[in-house]
This record gives sequence, structure tokens and C-alpha cells, in this order.
Amino acid sequence: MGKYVAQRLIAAAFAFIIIVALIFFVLFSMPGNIVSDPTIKETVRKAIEEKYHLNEPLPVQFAYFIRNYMNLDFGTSLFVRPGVAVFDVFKERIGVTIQLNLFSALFTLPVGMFFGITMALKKDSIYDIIASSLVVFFISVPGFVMAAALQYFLAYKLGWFPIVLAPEVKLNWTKFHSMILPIFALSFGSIASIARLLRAELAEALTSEYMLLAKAKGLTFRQRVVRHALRNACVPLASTFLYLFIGVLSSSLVIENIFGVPGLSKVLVSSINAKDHQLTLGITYFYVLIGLLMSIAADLSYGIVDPRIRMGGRKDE
Amino acid sequence: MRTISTEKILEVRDLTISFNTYAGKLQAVRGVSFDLHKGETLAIVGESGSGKSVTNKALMGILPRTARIEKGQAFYKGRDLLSMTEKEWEKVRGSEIAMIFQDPLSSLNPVTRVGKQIAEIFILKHKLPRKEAKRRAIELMDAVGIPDPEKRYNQYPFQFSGGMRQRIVIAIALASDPEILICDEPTTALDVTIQAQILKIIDRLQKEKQLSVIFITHDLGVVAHMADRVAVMYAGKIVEYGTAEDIFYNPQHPYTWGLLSSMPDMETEEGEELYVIQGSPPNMLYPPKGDAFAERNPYALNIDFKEEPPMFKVSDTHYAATWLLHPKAPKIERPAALQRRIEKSLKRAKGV
Amino acid sequence: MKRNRLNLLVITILIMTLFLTACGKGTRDEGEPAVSDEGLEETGADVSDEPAVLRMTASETVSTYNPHNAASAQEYEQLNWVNGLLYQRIYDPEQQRSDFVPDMAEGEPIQMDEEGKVWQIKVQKGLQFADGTPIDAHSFEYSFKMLFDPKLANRNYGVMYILENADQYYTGQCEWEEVGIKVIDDYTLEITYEDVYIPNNAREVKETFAFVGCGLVHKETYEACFNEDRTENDYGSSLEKFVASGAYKPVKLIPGQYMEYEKWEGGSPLAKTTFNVDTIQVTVVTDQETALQMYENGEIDIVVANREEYDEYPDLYYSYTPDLYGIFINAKSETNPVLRDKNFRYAIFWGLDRETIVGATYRTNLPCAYHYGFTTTVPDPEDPDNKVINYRESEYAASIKLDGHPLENNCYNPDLALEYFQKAYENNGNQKIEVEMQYIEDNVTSKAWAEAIQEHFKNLFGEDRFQINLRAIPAALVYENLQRDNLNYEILAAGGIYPNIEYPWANSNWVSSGPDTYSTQYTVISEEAAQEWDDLYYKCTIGEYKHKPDERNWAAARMEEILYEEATFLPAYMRGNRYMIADHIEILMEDNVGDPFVEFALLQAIYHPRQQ
Repeated sequence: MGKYVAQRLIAAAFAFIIIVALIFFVLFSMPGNIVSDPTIKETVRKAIEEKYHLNEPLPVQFAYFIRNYMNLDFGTSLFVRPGVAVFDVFKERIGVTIQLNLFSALFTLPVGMFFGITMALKKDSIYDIIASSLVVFFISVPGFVMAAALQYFLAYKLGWFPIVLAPEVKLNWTKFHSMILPIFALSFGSIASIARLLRAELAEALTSEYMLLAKAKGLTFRQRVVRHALRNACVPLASTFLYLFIGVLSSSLVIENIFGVPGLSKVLVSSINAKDHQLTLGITYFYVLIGLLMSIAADLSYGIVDPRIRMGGRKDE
Repeated sequence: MRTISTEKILEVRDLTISFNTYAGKLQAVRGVSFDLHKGETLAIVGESGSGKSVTNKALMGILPRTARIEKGQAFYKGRDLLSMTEKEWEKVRGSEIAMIFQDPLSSLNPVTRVGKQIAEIFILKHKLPRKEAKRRAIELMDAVGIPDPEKRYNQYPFQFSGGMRQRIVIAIALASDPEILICDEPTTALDVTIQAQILKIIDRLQKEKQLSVIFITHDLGVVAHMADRVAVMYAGKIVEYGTAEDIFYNPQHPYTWGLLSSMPDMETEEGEELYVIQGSPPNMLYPPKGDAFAERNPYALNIDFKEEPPMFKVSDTHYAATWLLHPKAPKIERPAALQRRIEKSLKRAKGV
Repeated sequence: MKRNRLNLLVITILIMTLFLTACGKGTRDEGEPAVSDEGLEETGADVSDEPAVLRMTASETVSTYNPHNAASAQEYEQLNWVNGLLYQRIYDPEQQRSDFVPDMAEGEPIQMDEEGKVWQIKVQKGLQFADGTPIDAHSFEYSFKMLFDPKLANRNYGVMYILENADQYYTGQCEWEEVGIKVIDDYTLEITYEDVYIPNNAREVKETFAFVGCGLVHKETYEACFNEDRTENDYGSSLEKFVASGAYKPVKLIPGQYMEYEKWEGGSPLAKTTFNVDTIQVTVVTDQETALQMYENGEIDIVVANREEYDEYPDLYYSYTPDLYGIFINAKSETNPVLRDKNFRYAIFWGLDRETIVGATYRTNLPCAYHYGFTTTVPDPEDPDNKVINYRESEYAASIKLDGHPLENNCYNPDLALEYFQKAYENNGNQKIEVEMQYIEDNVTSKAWAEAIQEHFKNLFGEDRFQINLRAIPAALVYENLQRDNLNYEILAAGGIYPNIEYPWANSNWVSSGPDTYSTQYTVISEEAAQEWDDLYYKCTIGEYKHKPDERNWAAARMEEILYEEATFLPAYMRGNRYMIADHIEILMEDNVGDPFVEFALLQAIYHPRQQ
């Protein structure tokens, strides 16, 4: 097991290095740089280009870039937060994003599992039919439509929640109350996916032979479902959940916009538009890193949950 | 030959089971009756679709939701099993009646350790503490012939070979010391050498624990080894019923003849064609009028197509449901090849 | 299972409510604003005693409070609230336009020599930073020195090249002592301009020092914010790294979300004399829908209301930016010789029905056929230092003729257009004329605009004779295709120009030669025209017309005339937005149109008690 983990980490490290270089070259090949705004005076443009080596050929710029990163100097933002180190910009904006996504994850998993399990146990009943339709609905409707609807009905019309995120620094009740709607908007799609997955897996597990044997053993329904069917049904769950998490983390831009959440996605988009490359790279690499780690975790989770994969199906006689 | 006790432990009367399918009502079991005596092995033989598995699943209360028991009783220790509630069944399954299945790979939970699958019976049903349960489980694994049980306790099913897996299944079945063991084609998925091992184990355990065994199979060779009594099923009915000798040395029903003839053995002469029963079992959505076997029966009489034959008594132990046993029926001889074979077997049994 | 049952219940209720409320009508659905608006504005005496709070939105929190490198024009306003300046542009209700007044300076700049090359500015005594540090001329000198610093390469140094040796210092070629900013005594600064950029009057000096980059920085804090080799400075990037000197100080900053400012006295004198707002709360909202909901809820005081549904609301306010948008025609086209024919370009110019087409596509933009828009002003030759006249209404503009035709009716003259088109058609050998017009892809209004033009000209000139083929291009390519040395279009119906609406002759967008050309220029005219144009331009900015307002105005008109003659950019509209402003705020503008520079001057408005 340890060997497997080490292998995956090394592979990920390689992938990361290649991605880093690729993104660098693609980004810097885009026409224009931070001072291509025509209203900037020539002297200023020249001074800035010289200071940041913006006119050197790409491989030279890349060399500077690598050298800085080796010294843990991730660059300074030039437009989005002038003068501020990329790492600090990061620290500012990551908090809310992480909070929101963490809460969303904590909300998604139990609720998704609850619906998945109940739908499987009550398969083909009225409850199942209604719940399945809702699942399809929540998977199909894009997150931002959900967000706009939630905001309009629950915040604006009914006034149960504030329209935008509360401007509190600490996470107190006011802040949390205003986070509820964005958490919902982020979660609904994932809840639906998990419910659907679990329903299918559990329904299949319930009809399998080992369930029959467990019944023949004399176990009660609850014992059978919990000890056997659920255990098997949850095998793909961890991996799916982790992938959903990555998806939510990186795609919450529109939802953040709607609720006025000062997250990382917005900074990334501004930074790309303004050609504030140092900042763009920093944030992009963060997402890449998270993505790689999550996929390793997802793969490893299979190993943890399913012993056949962990042990490679070796047989002893 | 074992002595079979005369005490009846299970009496099945007129069991009728049908399935609700989208196409209509499928009649799977049509009035099956038999007895199981204490300590004996009853083999139920038949083709796929004859209703043998369904019959036995009913005796465990593990029929699928689409099945309906229309009629019948199954008396066990004075109680009609078929009228029990689920809660009552939970007490009976495993503890009184146990079952082992055909494919051990799919009947064991692939992601749970083997030892746990055995031990959980002790923990959940007998409320034993964990350590005690583990000890008992290891004991059991030893009893079914699994080498090195302490190490094996923590392994997963995929780490065992087919034969070993089936032993685990047997161990699970016997954990609660049941009275009746139902074996649903337990050796069909295994190769021949392993088959023999498993059969031996079942045999041994039966003697040790005074089990009564119902053995379902389509393989008559297995039956010859194990069975005290045999019931031959076709299209949801028992067509012939008797002791092993009755069936093997004095088969009366043409279907039984067919089954026996189609067994290859050492005596089959070179160039001799293997006997095949023509056709296939009928569609049980629309059971035919008369004898269900009539279409494929080379010895069918006219009446076979009109009316179902009742059980005719051949001896105290031997019954067959064929119009050929009617006093007014023409005398039909068994097929020659079969007769030869029977005589040879008799000679062997008596002589060498 | 119990906990699961409870969850199920909660979620069911939630979902039910969602659907139920969707069916019912909300209470705020009718077309009325939330607050009654009877007779609030007339009673000037009813000014509120309670602290005046202004709540507004912004598209992002301030990137930094450091005036030297705050990059986005949207945040300049907020920077000027917190950083003290020598002069500031505020709204003058008497003149009904914005003008420059002393902020921390005392009185007007004093001309020290005959030419106007040397000026002195006095700094008011007794001013201080928010932490009590006293402010004097040295504080300003320090701020300028840091602004010009060669290692920092600050973005907002931009306009200061007009000071003596500023560029040299900025590019590291001389010492600070040689730069034209000196401290004469503790409260007096002496400014020396480069010879070519000598200002015409005190107003121009004030304008220089009202620029956002000239804001004060707090020396001690600024020094502490340098990195090791003094190449980067993060002063102003957080509240801890900043000390205010302006009329307001930032008291709360949640990055990406919210900013709050409070007025304090002791810094900029304008806090006492000019600004009426005590607290400013700025929430970051980018979604239009969200902002409107907040306005209807009474959570913010001003919101953009461009959409059709607000057409019939009472009390709408408009504000036009100085920039000008229209159609670019590539008169140097290699691929399509028709474009080189002036007749064709004039046909399009006179044939464009701006009122109708702009009205159909952009409900809040102002159709404008003129290179110098309706808000352009020029110094009144009678009193150039103090008065201005509206250029468009003046004799100078009236004198402009295009090919003998005066510019009337927002330059829509279909008959004239047909005449020119006929000529162009004949020059094309009586063959059907086809041109390709580019617009911005994925942009609904850009597409609507392009299609409206296409349709209009199809009807005007006839399908058999004229056809416009549309082509979508990504937004990023618009300015690339327009570049002077890389013209890559036939007609481009997107993009615009930012003219100078106070000194129209200083329209450096069109300069082709000399020191005022940018490296990337968009707007192209023929060589002969460019020669005359550049000649006039430099005469007005640094040459013989510099101190002659009347000559300058005529030159400006002639320069404008050249642009019409060249017809490579056909102006179509000025961009505007429509706003709703909370009823209890009474703005200083007599009509409901905002100033091009200070918009609605909300900080100076009169605040009545908020009706709740």
C-alpha cells in the first residue's frame, strides 16, 4: 500500500511539472501583457516591461520564473492587487472559498447518502419516483440558475436570508446565516449525483447473491442492509465524492458572483483578463495541485474501501 | 447404507408457487409433496426450470417478492413454515434450516473478511462476545477442512480457491447448528476433483451433526453417491419419488429413463450415440393440458395429452406419476441400453 | 433512521416552500419603487440631523489604497476619498459643472515667472494624517519622490512627465534634486515644468495635481512596506498598512466583499466644507440582478437601471461618459478598394440613422455623430482661466462643413447619403458593393447593433447594390485589429475613442508623429491629412496657439473638420447609463444628468431623513 501511494505521488509530481510549464507557455503566449493598455504612457510601459522582463523571449522568462519559484517567491500581483505578493492575495481570498466548499461538502455527503439509501430501500414506490425526478431536476439545472432562484425567492421575496454574503470578518451566526443559500446552491447538484449513484449501487447490492446468503444466515433486514449491502454500495462513493468536490471548488465562480462571495474564482478571472500573469499562475497552480491530490485521494479511496483492489487480487492457496 | 430414521422432520404438502411476471403468471411449482426424514439425504433432481430451487427457497422463506405461494404447507416441528411471519423466519433461518448456494464467489461478500462473515452469526444471533465468536468461527473453519484457519480468518474471499470458498459457505451454514441443510447445486460451479471433496465434507458433517440434507442437483452421478432418497422433478411437479435403489435400479417414469440414459459412463460403447431427451421444457406461463412431459415423451400415450397422471404406487417407498403404470396401459419396456446398464450396475453392487 | 427522518422533513418543507412561493405573487412585484416620493425634495430645510450614510456598490474591492499603483480607473474615486491631494475636482453647483478647488493646498497656484514655467503651491497649515502625523510640504515631496521612484516603476507616474526632469529621474538617469519639485519652506512647494509642457493657466496646474497619483502617502508606513531590495511596496494593501489623509478613512475592509469609510476632520479640509456624507458603505456586487434586488430592498442607494422594465419609472438619472463609440472604416484597405473611396465612406456617414439604430440597440446611450461630443467644453476666450463654453453650441463647431455640407440633425441625411453612394457605386464600375463588418462575438448587444446597421443600409441603398457581410470576432481582437500598423478589418462596428472633453484639441488619439504618439495607435488618417492635423495639434499643445484661446478653438474645429473629411472613424454614440437614486438624496444637478467626471457627486448631495 505504501508503495502504491509513493508511486502515485511521484507520477503526480511529474504531471504537475509538465502542467506548470504548459500553462506558463500558453498564458504568456497570449497577445498583450499587463501594460498593453493604450492609455499608458510610453515611459511607464517601458519601465514596467523592463522590470518584469516582459519583453524577453519566453524561455528566458520561464527561467526567471522557475528561479523565483525555487526560492519560494511566487511573484507579485501587478494589477488585481498591486504590490501584494501572490501568496498574500491567496491567503486573503481562500478563506471564504474553503469555508463555503467545506460546509457544502459536510452538507452534501449525509444528505446525498440519506436520499440515496432511502430511494434504494423504497425502490419504485411513490417516494422513489418523486425523489428520482427531483434528482434529475437538480442534476440538469445549472448551479447558477439554482443560485439565482434561491436568491430571488428565499432572500428577496421572503426575506428569510440576506441577499448577499454578510460583511463580517469572523465566522459568527450572521455570517453563517448568509452563507446558507450559497451552500445550498453549491450542494444541490452534488447531492443529486450522490443520491443517484448510491441508489443504483445499493439497489444492485440488495439483489445480489451475498445478500441472499445473509438472509439465509438468519440476519434481520437491518443487519443485512447495513453490514453487507451498504458496505458494498459505498465502494465508489468516496471517489465520486472527491471528484464532485473538485468540480464544485473550481466552478463556483458564477454562484460566488451572485451572492457577492469574495472567492478565489473571481480573482482568477480578473487576473486573467488583466493579464496579471503572476497571480494567474499562482492561483491556477493551486487548483491544479488540489485537483491532482484529490484524484490521488480518490484512487486511493478505492483501495481503502475495496480490498480486492488494495491487494491486487492475489490468491493464497 | 445409513439407517434412515423413520421420524419425519419435514413434511411438504401440495406446494404450489407462481410468479407474477410482466408476461403473466408463471406457474413454477404445481402441487409438490415430499417428506424428509431425520438424518437422511433427499436428492431433488431435475432440469433447469423444473422448479427445484424455487421449492427449496420457499422452505427458507427467501422467495423473491414476485413469488406467490398459492397453496401448500410445510410442516416442521409441528409448525407450518409457509404461514410464518418474517420475524419468525429470522429465527428459523440459519438456526433450524440452513442453505448453501451454487456459486460461492458471489454468495460471499467480496469486501468483508471471511472470518467476520462467519463470526457475525455468533455475534448477532447468539450474542456471543467477539473473542468467543472468533474462536468458534476458527473451530468451524477447521471442521470444514480449511488449513491454517487462524491466518485464513482475516483473508478475503477472493484469496481463496473455489473449493475453499464453498467450505466457508458450508461453515456459515452450519454455524448455528441447524437441523436441516439445503444444498442448492453446491458443486455445479466446481471442478470434479473439488466436487468430490465437498461432497465428502457434507457427508461427514451430516453424520457428525445428525443433519437432514436436501440436495438439489441436475447431476445424477452426485445423486448416486449421496442420496438416500430421490425425487425427480419436471415442470414443477414431482414425477418420480423413491429410494436411491428404486430410482436407479427400477426407474418407472420415462423422464427418469431419459435422465439415466443421458448420463455418460464408462460403459458407453464406442460409437454409441449419447441419449438425448428431445425438445425443451414447456413454457410454464401456459402449462400444457395433461402431462407436461408428453411432448417430449417417446412413450407418450393419448391420455398423456389429455389428463395429468396421478401418482401411482410402485412400492411402499416408490411412486411414479405416469400413465404407463395404469393397469390398462400397454406394457412398455425400458430402453435397451438403459436396461443393460442397470443390470451391469446391479451385478457390480452385488458382486465385486 | 430517526435523524434521517428529521432531515427529510426539513428538506421537504424547504422544497415545498420554494415551489409554493414560486406560484404566488410577491409583494414587491409591482412596478412601484419601494418608497413613496411625495414632496421630499422641495423642503430644503428638512435636512437630516442624523449621520448621513451613503450605501453603494462596486465591482470589486479596492485593489490597493496606494495612489502610486492602484490600477483600475473605477477605484480612483475611492482613492481620492482617503488620500489627501493638493487640488481636487468637485462639483460646483453654481457653474453646474465640475471644477478644481484647493484641497490641502492653500489658494490657487501662484505663477512665479512670465512664461508660466515655475509655479508655487502653498500647503495649508494644521493638517494631519489620521494618526496625527502633521502634514507639510515635505510630506508631499516625499510622496512625489516615491511616485517617481525608478525601482518601483509605478504605473500612475504616467501624467507627471510634464514636470522638469521627471522622465529622467523615473528612468534612473538623474538625481532627485534635479526634478522640478522643490520644497521652498515648510509649507511651500515650487513646481517647474518642462519647456514644452508649460501650462496655460493656474487651472491646468491644479489639474495636474488633482490626478490620483498625486495623493499623499504616510512616510513611516510606506517605508515599512518596502521589500528587501526596494523594488516592491505593498503600502495600502490592507488597513494595517495604510494611514488616511483624505476626507474619509477606511474603517472596514473585507477583501472582495465590503468596504466602509468614515468622515473625519483634521485631514482634508473638504471634509468640513464640501462633503455631507458621514459614512460610506460599499458592497461588492457584480451581478446586476442582485444589485437591483438590494436597491428595491432599501439596502443600497444607487443602482444602474438600464433594462427595459425601468423605462416608465419616475426619477431616473442619466450619466454619460466621455468616450465615443462608432464605426471604424479601413481607408487603407488592400482587399476592398471601395473602402478607399471617400464617397463610400461619406455615404455611410450621412446614411447612418443614429437616433433610430442606437435607440433600438442601446436604450441608455446617446446618439452622437460628432467627434467632440455634447459635453465638450472649451475655455471661453473672454475669460479662459475661469469660464468655459459648450463647444458644440459655439461658433467654432458651427463653422465645420463636410464637403460643403453643415453638420446638422446629428448628421443623418439619407438623400445626401444616396448621392455619395451613387458616386461610389459608379466608381466601382456599377458593380454591387460588398463589405465585411466585424462585431464582437458572444455579445448580444454588439450583434444586435451590427445587424441593425446591416439591415438599415440594406434598405437605404438597396440589396442589389449594397451588402454588408457580418463577421464575429473575439473581444480581445477588437483593438488588435485596429492597430495602426496592422489594420486587419474592413469595417469594425465596435470599439471607441476617449477624447479630451475639456481641451478637445489635445486629442492625442489621432497623433501620428512627434512625442505624443503612443506605441499602439488605432485611429488612422491619410498622410496629407495627418500632417496638417499633427501640425495643428502641436501648435495648440506646445506651439504658438498655446496661450491663444481663440486660435486654439478655431484650430480644434479645423482638426475636427479634418476627421470628418477623412471619415475613418464615424462616431455613433456616447455611452451612458441610467440610474435610480434613493429618494432621500437630493443631488446638486439641476437636471437629472450627471457630470462626465464626478457623475452625481453623491458625497456633496443633500441628505434628507431616510424614509423607512
